[in-house]
Amino acid sequence: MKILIVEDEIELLKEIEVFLSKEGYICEVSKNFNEASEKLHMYHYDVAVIDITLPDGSGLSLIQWLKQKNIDTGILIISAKNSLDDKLYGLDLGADDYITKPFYLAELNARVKAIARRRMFKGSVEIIHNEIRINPENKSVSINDNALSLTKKEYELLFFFVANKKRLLTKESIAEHLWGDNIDLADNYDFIYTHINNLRKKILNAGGTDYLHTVYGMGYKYLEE
Amino acid sequence: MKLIEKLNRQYIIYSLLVLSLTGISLYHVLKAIVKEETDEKLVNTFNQIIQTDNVYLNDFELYPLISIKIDSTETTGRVFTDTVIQVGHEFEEYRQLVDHIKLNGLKYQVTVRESLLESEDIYQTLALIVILSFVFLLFLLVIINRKIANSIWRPFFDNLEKLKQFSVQTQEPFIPTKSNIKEFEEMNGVLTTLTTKVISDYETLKKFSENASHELQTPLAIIRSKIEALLEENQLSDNQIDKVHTIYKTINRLSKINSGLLLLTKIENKQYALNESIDINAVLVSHMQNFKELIDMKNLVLEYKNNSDWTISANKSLLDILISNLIGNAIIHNRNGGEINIELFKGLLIVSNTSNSAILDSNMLFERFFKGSNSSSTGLGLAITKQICNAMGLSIKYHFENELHFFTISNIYS
Repeated sequence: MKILIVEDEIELLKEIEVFLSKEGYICEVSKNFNEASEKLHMYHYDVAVIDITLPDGSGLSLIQWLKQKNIDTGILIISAKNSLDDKLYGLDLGADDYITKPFYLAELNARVKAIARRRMFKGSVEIIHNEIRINPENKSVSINDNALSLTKKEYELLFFFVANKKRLLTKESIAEHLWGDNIDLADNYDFIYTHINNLRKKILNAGGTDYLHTVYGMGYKYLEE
Repeated sequence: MKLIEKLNRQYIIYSLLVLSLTGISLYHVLKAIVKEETDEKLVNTFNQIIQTDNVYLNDFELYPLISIKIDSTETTGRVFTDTVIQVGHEFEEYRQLVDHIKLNGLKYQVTVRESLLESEDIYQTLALIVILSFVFLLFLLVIINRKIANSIWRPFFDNLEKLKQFSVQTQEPFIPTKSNIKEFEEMNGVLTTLTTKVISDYETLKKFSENASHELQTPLAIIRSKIEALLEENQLSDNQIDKVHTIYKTINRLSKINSGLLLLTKIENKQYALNESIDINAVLVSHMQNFKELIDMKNLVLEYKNNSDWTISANKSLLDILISNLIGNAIIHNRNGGEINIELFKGLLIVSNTSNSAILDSNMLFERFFKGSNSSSTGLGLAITKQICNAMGLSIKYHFENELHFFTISNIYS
């Protein structure tokens, strides 16, 4: 799976590239509009992660061009402007999703994955990891073919973990993923702890393995074994 | 004191002063003239008496006007005096002349008197004239002043009213009412320059804070990604992890403050169109659903009463932030096993909750960077809530009652 990352901040670009490469994607990078435009003309990408504000043009024009040419590339917009207009305009142009700086890499990863899955399998495929099967279409989970009853947030939590296997998920990124960035949880991260414990218990009770590992002081990791 | 009142008062004081001075001097001048005239008249009478030949001057008396009697005492010369004489039952004021003459070897004392009653009348008339003219002048002054206020001062008061309405936030320039008075025009010129500058300075400031917030987002994103990468490497000691985690938390706080400020600036800049018709009940229900797990984890009892629907014209994103802030606060600042009550009426939303913290300072609560007991919060949540309410023409109030913190949002702006 090929991904093009368009971002003018080289340091950020590097981190995104490293992070997504570890997920097994083939990543190519462009640090300005012209470079990106050139690459999009020459090659085909499954997903393009595009920063809107570039030194020599707007990322929105790239999206426009892709859509005009009917090129089937999934698009994730990155913007420093948390501006609603940009967001609506970008989504109107045909972008699949939108993420605002500063974002968590795990969140970016989860979004890219969701776009890729929607593009490649039209969202119909189940995600299977050992005994756990997740059906993103009807948001259901089963363990050893027994349906697991999860609350909406528990489902989202598990999904976030599975999308970021072997990655450290900080409490902060989990909180923002589950409840958005409007709520200021600050010192209330014990919420997350309780939440993860509940999920853990449900999986164990259904006969599943506990893949959720606590990383000292920082957060959690979904380990495959 | 109003300008007109002040002017009127000054005019009254000065005219009173001038008129009383005029009255007093007039009285004195008149009195001197009357005295001189009376004295002249007395002298004339006296001369007529002594010029009359062969008159038997001996003890002639025409009381109280003329009296002649033999008097052998020393002469003191001609003397004018004022005196009061009883005529009938009444006392009257008289001016008298006393002189001595020698006739046929005999010394006579001649007294001639003239009543001063007439001059009293003159003084009274004078006083009347002075008072009447004072009243007339006053009346005239008030009328003239009012006329002046209505015409000459009109542009001044118009502009004053406009200045009161002036706000840098509405971005409407101050256009003064023209006047043909030089001083007012000068003032208008200065005010126009000043307000234009204030508006442009405010614009610059707003742009600056918005740009600054924007520009900070990217560096924050870089720092955050670098820290995440560092933590991923998994080669740090516990001690190092603690430190890196502190940096990470601080960066998160910084980025929350930054995006909060950015949001505030955007609301202030009216970058959100309020053109969606939104059912508040639906928004409430979806957010209560969103926070369900948090509510359960704290063992909170949530009671929601939808008394009547309330549909407002608003912006969905802003309303989401507003409702999520309100409910989120009610959860976060609640005590374990506490309660949250939400009541919705048409035009009124009341959220109340129990809490460990005591009554909050309602004056400071909605200020930016106000922090209660929770020092690691950004202190922007309620400032944003208030700003959103303002933008939507709603009012938000806080009060503390029966151990409950109440937040009331209504469309009655008072």
